Formats: sequence, structure tokens, C-alpha cells
Amino acid sequence: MYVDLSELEALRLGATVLGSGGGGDTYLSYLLAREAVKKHGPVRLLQVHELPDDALVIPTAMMGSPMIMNERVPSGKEALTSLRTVEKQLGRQALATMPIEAGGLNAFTALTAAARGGLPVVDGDGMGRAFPELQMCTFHVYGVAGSPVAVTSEQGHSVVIESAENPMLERLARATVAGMGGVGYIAAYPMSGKQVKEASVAGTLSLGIRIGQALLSAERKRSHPAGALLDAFAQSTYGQGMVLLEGRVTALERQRARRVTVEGHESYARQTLEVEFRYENLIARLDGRVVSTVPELIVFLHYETGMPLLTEELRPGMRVICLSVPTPEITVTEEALAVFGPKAFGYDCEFRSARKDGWR
Amino acid sequence: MSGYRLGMDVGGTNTDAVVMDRDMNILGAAKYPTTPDIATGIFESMDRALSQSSVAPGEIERVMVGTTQCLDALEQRKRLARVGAIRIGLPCSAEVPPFIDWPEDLKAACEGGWAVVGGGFEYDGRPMADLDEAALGRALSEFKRKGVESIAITCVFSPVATAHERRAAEMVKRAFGPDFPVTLSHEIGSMGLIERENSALLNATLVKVADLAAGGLKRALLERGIVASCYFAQNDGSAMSLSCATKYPVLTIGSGAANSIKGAGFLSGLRDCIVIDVGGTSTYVGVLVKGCLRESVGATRIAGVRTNFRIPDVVSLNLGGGSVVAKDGGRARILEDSVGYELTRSALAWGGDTFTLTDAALALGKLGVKDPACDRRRLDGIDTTLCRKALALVQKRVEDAIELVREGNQHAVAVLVGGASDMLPEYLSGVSEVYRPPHREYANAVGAAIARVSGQVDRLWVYGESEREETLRIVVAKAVEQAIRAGAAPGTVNVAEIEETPLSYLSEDAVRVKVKAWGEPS
Repeated sequence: MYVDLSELEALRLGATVLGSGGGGDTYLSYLLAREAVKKHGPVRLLQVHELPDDALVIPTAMMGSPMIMNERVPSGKEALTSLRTVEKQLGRQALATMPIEAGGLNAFTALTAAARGGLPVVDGDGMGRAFPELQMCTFHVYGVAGSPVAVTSEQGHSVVIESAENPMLERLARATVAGMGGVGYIAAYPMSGKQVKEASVAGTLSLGIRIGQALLSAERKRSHPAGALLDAFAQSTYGQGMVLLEGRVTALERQRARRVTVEGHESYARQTLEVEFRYENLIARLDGRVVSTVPELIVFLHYETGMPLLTEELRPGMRVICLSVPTPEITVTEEALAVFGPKAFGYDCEFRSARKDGWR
Repeated sequence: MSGYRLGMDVGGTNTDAVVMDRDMNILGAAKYPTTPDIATGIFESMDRALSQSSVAPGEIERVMVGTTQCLDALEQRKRLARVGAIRIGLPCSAEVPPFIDWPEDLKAACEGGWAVVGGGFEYDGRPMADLDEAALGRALSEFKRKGVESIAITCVFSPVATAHERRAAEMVKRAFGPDFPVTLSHEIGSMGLIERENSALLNATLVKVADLAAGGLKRALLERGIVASCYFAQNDGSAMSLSCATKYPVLTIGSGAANSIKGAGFLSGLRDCIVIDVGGTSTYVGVLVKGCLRESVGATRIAGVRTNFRIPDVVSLNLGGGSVVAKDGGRARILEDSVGYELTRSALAWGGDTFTLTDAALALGKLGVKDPACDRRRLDGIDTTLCRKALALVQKRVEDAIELVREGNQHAVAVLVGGASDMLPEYLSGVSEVYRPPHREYANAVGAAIARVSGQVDRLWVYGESEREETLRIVVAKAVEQAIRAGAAPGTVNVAEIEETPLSYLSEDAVRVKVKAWGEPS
């Protein structure tokens, strides 16, 4: 399978859905990928099982503030430079790159690097969604060393970081990114094909494309976007998700608590949904009871257009559909939840799955 | 100090004028079809409103004008200036050049070349690189050779540090002369390079239309002996001085909708309501929340171009009194076309041959038209079932729009304004009540007349808790200064809102602060 212009367009929506409210606006990173594909041709998508066990894969991502990225528009070659830097450190060439984070704008960072470097991209990632920190990924959970990490700025400054501890890599890379002006483009977690098979969330890029296609087709046919989206997930390793509530945003707190309140309407009348977010949506409470938590995807769709919404796009009065979608088995094991379950975000509650815990 | 003011709205169909006194009583109001030369429509409606009010032209102190001329020029790709784009920020951004993702026909109508040169700043205001003046000079010679008529300059992080944009503007003035139109992005848009640059480019291409409109208005006022200070309405419903408006025409693009919502609020005396403005060519459905306009969130496309400035959050429908009705089997259809200012020539009731929504409303006795040239007898024998079906369609589309804009689950009062709003029924779903205020057909001009002047600052700041107050004090002072520069009387300026948004995925204390200040026109 190849990723060409129409797949990129669909992925804009699908990656936003996987971002679960966060991961940054995809417009600019989509434009960069589009320009790269126009110039260098479509990108080959390698399935995880197609990878030889001894192949070298170097994942890539943007790190830092999406708002600063939107101002200091990158040239598009930064992530590839980081990948080449890691290759140099290892003395080996990569067979492919892959996203660390398939949710939000980073779905496109690896595709841009792949197009520009003439590399295929592995159809998978280390999060299956968006997360705020570098060690919040299945690569780290299942024992892949993040080191060496290369960070490159738009001006071509590069830093290589080595540490045996992945959380320390996050701290040092974050500080480096701050020093570079708030945004950096990284290559990290170099791994073998065998490790990719053991430690990644497989199929997430093609899933993102399918979700986007489902939403676009629902828009064309004027059919229910939530149904189309849930069907696309149901046919993947994510499984059957559900609509938590349809209603209207009645309150929104962004300063300290960061919480959105939605009052249900029609068949959801007299129900209240509260979603806590930091960058991504993290905890969903229905009438005061926790029904779905991170890493499950908690996604808001704009009621009228069916388009997925970032938390920063929510505002009082808006009509929304809120969905919860389970994430693949590999992201909800005990080890995984210790790294990116609700407790890792400072919530004193256990992981809950809307579907599996059968609350309705 | 007589305190009389003249409010005008130059729309696609009609030019409206109202004369108000210092206590905001409406003394005179008139409507005249917008004319292709703009000025005649202004003269005719202004003279009528003045004579009704028995206020002498010389007694008018302020003239406030709202117009859709700029938006129309962009939509129709007409009268646009050829723009040269300068972007400062290399090595950033080389792969996404200026005019990226623009509709091809708009680009063809206004692009005059572009250059990306070295320079720009970090988010905390430190320079990222020196401004590459040599490259800039070469680009300017090239623009000169190509004959560009206007230049837009956009620099990375100019909302934080303006020096490179200002320096580049000096070089443009030196090369092209002191009166050559230059748009600096930091004066127009906020964070987001591509979107801010697009806003600046749209502004730069509108300078010719803005000059025409402002020039026409000035001549008209002068000829009638009106020596008032003159303001244009902008997107947030506030007014800016004529000289500001000719510099920042893109900021007037949403003023039509803003004026009708504010005007409806004033005429109804309501601070919270849904406003439905049915004009000749289009219908706006918007909301007033606690007396304020609700603004759009995130990226907004204008004439197909992605921008990030805020415009009133309204649903606009391609639907108005001049919309053409067609019969489609047994059903009515409302075409995308409107006869616009030719209503009084083309519509059936005026002896024309086009079946418009106005004809349908007249035939059913829903609309009263004072124009002697309009004769309802011409509609005798018209298919009234078709008329009813057409109006039912209008109602349905308006009700759908109400669902999109209303806040919360409570039903609010709908205020109906605009010349063709009487064709809507007594009951609409999604609202508690339908209210038709007096003078409703002049809501836009009233909205312009009552406008105050605003100033806004939207910037990134890096501060810890200890520097917070000091920073906010600086930002507030800047917003007040902006308002005064836009034409507010210094003693009357108040700060309306302060919005602080911490930057996501960043470890430092970078906060986006937005402050808006309002004052009375001086």
C-alpha cells in the first residue's frame, strides 16, 4: 500500500481522531507531507509483519509546542536529518522510519521524513494515539532503549542525547527542545524489525487513513459520522467503541481544572458528561461516574459537520458527539497502564473501559 | 457638541442610512438600492434620512459606515491589487511558500510574486537570525519589475517582535515611495505564520477597493457639507477611523454580520438573543451573548483562504429577498442566485420577469413595500401554493441555522431584522419567541452608528507567577493605546476582556495573552 495525496487528506482527519483531543492541529504538518509527496512521490507503507527481524527502523517525531511550530514553520527536512544522525551514531542505515505517535500532527512527521529520504514507513506507532511525553509509548513499556536520540531544529542545529533511562531521555530532549526555541524534530528508539513486532501498535497509519475516509464518505452521503467512525474502529485491533453522549457544551474550564461539561440532548437528555483533559482528553465521567479513561480514546466530533475536534476548538454552545474507543491489547496491559494509565497523569482512579466494563 | 451621528450600511442590495442623536434616538432612517458607483446610493439614502430628521448636514459629528464591499471584491475576484509577498524567516518555512493552498483563480487575480528571506524571532523575542537585507533588496527590485501594487510583509514571530517587519517596511517605502501600500502581518493577525500571512496578503490585495470606498464616502460627505469624523465598522462590531480602515480593509470583512447582530441587540433592548437578519442577497443567523458578539474559533476560511483572525460566529445562508424562486415539478426551489440591487427592476412586483422571494412574500401579504413602483396587482394569479412552499423552505433553512448557533439547551428570543425578515413566520422552532423590533429594516446601519472603538493585543509572553501582574499591566496599556490609535477618546477607554492561554506541550511559562479595550469614538 502507498500513501499518496488522497490518503494524506483522509489521514488529516483520522490522525486528529487518534489524537483524542490533543496531538496538535494537523494542517501544517499535512501541508509539509503533501509538498514532500508531490515532489518525491508516494510513500510505501510497510506492514509490521513484512519487516525482516534484523531490519533497522528509526522512528521520528516532532517534539514541543504545536503553536510554536505553526509560527516557526519547519522546512520539512528536520526529522530526516535526525534520522540520518542516529544512523551515523549506529553506523547502520535504516530500512524504514515510523511514527512514534500516530495521533495528531506527528502522523505526518514520519511520512514527510520518509518521502524526503526515499524510505518506506512502517504502518504502526508507539502510542496508538497522542501522548505528551517521549517515554509514554509502547516502545518504552516493552523494553526498547530510546537512545540515541537526535534532536534537530529548523536552523539545522542538532543534538545527540544518550542515556540508558528513557524517562531521562524525555527530560533532556525536552530541555533541548526548549533551548531550540520550543520545537525540535527527533529520531529516537532505533530498533530491530523483531522489536517493532513486539513493541509497537500495529496498523495505526492505515487505520488513521480508513477512519478519515469513513468520515469523508459519511460527510458526502450525509450519514451519521459516529457510526462510520465506530465501524472503522470495530474492524481493527481497537475494537468496538461507543457513543458516550450527544449534547451541547455547557461549561468549559481551561485554566486550572481543564474540564469540559456536556449536557445531553434527545435520547441522552438529562445526562451530563464531564471530560477532563490536559492536552488530550483523559477521563470521561457520566453523571459523576468514571466511564472511560486514558489510554482509551475519548473523542469529540462536531455534531453538524462530523469532524473531530481538538480540545482547544471546543467552546460553550457547541453541539458535539462524544465517543469512547478502546485501544489495542498491547496498550492496556499492567505494564502499559503503569506508564500511561490514569495514575501516570495524576488521577487517583483505575483504568476503565467504557465498553469492556459494561456500564450501560 | 450636538452629538448627532449618521450610521450607514452599504450592502449588496441596499444602502441604508440612519440619523441618531446623542441619546441614541433614531431621528431619521432611509433605504436606497446600492448603486454600482456606490456614491449615488450613499447620497440618496443619506439625504432622505437627513431630511426626515431635520438635522442639518453640518450638525452631524460622527459618520459610521459598515460595508460588504471588501468581502464582495474578494468573493468576485474583482478590483484586487497585485500583491508581492515578503516572508522573513529562512531557513524556516521554505517548503510551504506564500499563497500555498489558495484557490487558483484568486491567486491568479492577485498574486504578484513572493520571496522568503532570512530573519525572524524566537517565541521569547530573541532574534533567530539577522534580517537578510540584501535578499530583501533583490526581491523588491523584482517586484518593481513585475509592477506589484501592494506588498505584504510577514515575519516569524512578529506578534512578539516587530523589528524585522518594520525594517522591511522602511526598505519598501524607500524603494517604492512613502505612499506605497504596505501591510505588516503583526498589525492584522495573531499567532500562526501561514494564517497570519494569508490575512496580510488578503489585506494587501484589498487596498484598492478600500481606497475607492473611502474616497467615495469622503467626496459624498464633503459635497453635502458634512465635516464629521468618519469611522468604518470592523469584524468585532467596533469602529475604526477612516484612515485605519484604508490601511486594514480586511478587518471590515465581517462587519456586515457584526452590525446586524449589534443593531438587533440595540433595537430589541436584549442582551442575550438569537439574531436573524434577512437581507436582499443573504441571511445571517447569529447570537448575542451578554451583549457581546460571539466570535469564531480556530481557522476561518475567507474567500477560500485559511486565516486566523476572528470574525462573528454566524451561519450565513445564500438566501434573501432577492433570491430567485424556481418551480421543480410540484416543489419550490430557491436558487443560489439573487437579483441583488436589481430587485426593483427584475422582480415580478416591479414589472420584471424574475420570480423572487420578495414576490412570494408580497403575494401572501407577508411583506409591505412602500416603493410606489412596486405593485402587488402584478402578482395576481400567481401560484400561491408555490409561494407558500418557497417560504416554508426559507423557514426550514433558518430553523436549521438556529439549531447550529444557539447556546445551551435553553430557548432564547429570536430578533428578526433586515428588509426581508417579515417573510418569516410568527413561530420558529428552537426559539421561545419571535420579536420584530421597530426600525428592524435599518438594523445594520444602527449597528454601525452605535459602534464603539476597540484596540486589541494578542501576543505570547513568557512569565512566572511573580511577573504576571506586571506583564498584564503592560499588555493592557498596549491595548488601550491601540484603541486610542484606532480613534477612541482617551478618557473613555475600558478593558473588556483578558484571556490567558498557557501554551501546550511546552515546559516553560509561555502564555498567550489577549486583551481587548473599548472606548467611545473621539
